[in-house]
Amino acid sequence: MNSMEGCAVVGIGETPVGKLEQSTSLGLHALAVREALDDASIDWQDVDGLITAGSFVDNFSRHSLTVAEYLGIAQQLSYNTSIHMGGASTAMGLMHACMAIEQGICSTVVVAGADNQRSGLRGKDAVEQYASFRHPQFEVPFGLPNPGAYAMIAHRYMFEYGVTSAQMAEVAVTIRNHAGLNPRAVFRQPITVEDVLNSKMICEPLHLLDCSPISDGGGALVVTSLAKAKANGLKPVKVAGYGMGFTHDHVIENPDLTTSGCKASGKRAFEKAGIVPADIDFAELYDCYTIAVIMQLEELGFCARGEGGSFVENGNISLKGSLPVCTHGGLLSHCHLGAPAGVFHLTEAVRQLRGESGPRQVPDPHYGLVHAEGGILSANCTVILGGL
Amino acid sequence: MIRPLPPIDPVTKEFWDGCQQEKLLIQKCGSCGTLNFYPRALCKKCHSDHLEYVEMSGRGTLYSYTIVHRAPGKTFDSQVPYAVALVDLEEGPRLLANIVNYSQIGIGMKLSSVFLTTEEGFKLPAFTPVSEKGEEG
Ligand SMILES: [Zn+2]
Repeated sequence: MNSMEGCAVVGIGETPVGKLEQSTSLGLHALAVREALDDASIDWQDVDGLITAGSFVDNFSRHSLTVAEYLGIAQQLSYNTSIHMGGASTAMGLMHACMAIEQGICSTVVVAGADNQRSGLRGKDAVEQYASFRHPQFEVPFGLPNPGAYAMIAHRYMFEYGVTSAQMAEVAVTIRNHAGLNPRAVFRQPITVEDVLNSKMICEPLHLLDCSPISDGGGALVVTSLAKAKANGLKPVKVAGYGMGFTHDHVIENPDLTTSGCKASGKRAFEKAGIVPADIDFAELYDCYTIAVIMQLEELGFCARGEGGSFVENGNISLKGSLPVCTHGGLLSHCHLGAPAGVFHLTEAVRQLRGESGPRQVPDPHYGLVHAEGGILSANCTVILGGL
Repeated sequence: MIRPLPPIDPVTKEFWDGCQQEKLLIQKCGSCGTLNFYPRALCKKCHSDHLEYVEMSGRGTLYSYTIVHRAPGKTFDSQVPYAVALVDLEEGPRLLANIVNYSQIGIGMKLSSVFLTTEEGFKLPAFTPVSEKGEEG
């Protein structure tokens, strides 16, 4: 690939996050898109592609077209689609944006992810809705909640590799420290390993602070070809590689709970980027539950099989460590939007690569990796940014 | 016991009918021999539609589990804590089910199938530990 081939993120936008009582899901999409276009210095009229991640609050069957209509840009679009792959949706959306641009179908694509599940669904309803994503016949009747599925993964992982609850807690503690440096994060007070272990048990072995709470909010990215970005004097962050990977959809069909499609998606992304894990300066991993981070560190090749727990315990994923993870505070402490949640992993990676992350800036990063997954380690997408 | 009942369809009916007779009936492929769970219209390995149900022994091993303390919605609120586990049947297929008498629960534990009856009289598969002597614990 020569230096002008491929695509770049040229703008990022974020709304505030947390409990936004007056928000609507569509309204959050609009605010995030406006921020991203302002950041890119691109006019609304130049957008010819729009990709969304759906909503659990709104039930529009053509969600991306509803958003386009709401924004008043439907007529100018030559590409419009929603990705319904749970938490992997926005990362897959960025991958789709690049593919559509490289195919010449459109030239300026907005990828938007927003929702207001916190104020739009209410706590118990949200828990019930997430539980309903389990297999209706062979999982739902037995009362398996979303954290329960990850808890089964954690138990198996502990059994096979000796990962401890304290090591999982260290993930939450480190990511909370990063959130403390992000004024936008919902949870910023430092916590200790003891705090995590003493927090309410949700599904054994996962405690409350091993889990990510739902918030309202939205984020967006503007994507163009690298050539166009450079010609227009924009500040591009190159999309160096991407890949998807799958082993199952429902957790009952995962043949081995200690692995997932993350391994394949990571391998494909590294191959496309032409780099290796040691080239990555920071990683925005999908921290829906603490165990998921430990597994992704191993699956993506940042440490050996079974060593994710000690990798975390030795400080490697902190801002001063060898591989800072979830530098903005992640899903655990910044916010979790539901299916669109991965959007902030992408916006933070772009911000880091531009050198605009302030007190939580990783020194002079060259490559950043984003991994996002939907379901129960089901839908996986890895994106590698940087390398200009 | 209150539970969300499975929305049974024509492909899965025989499995659920088996449960009502306290039998675990699993689809076996007549072409390649694969035991398919959950039930399908085609074998997931060779895509043959030559599928027949065979009865399992009910013996299995605990692959992983959780004890649920925060219920997934109102139906389960009054039932916490309870155990949910992935159980590998000795014939191969893996099922999700509740574990009764779970105080000694652990990965690798030997289990045997039982059936729990909902308030509507519908039977759901479940498992209970088998003691060293081979009796239900
Ligand atoms: Zn077959």
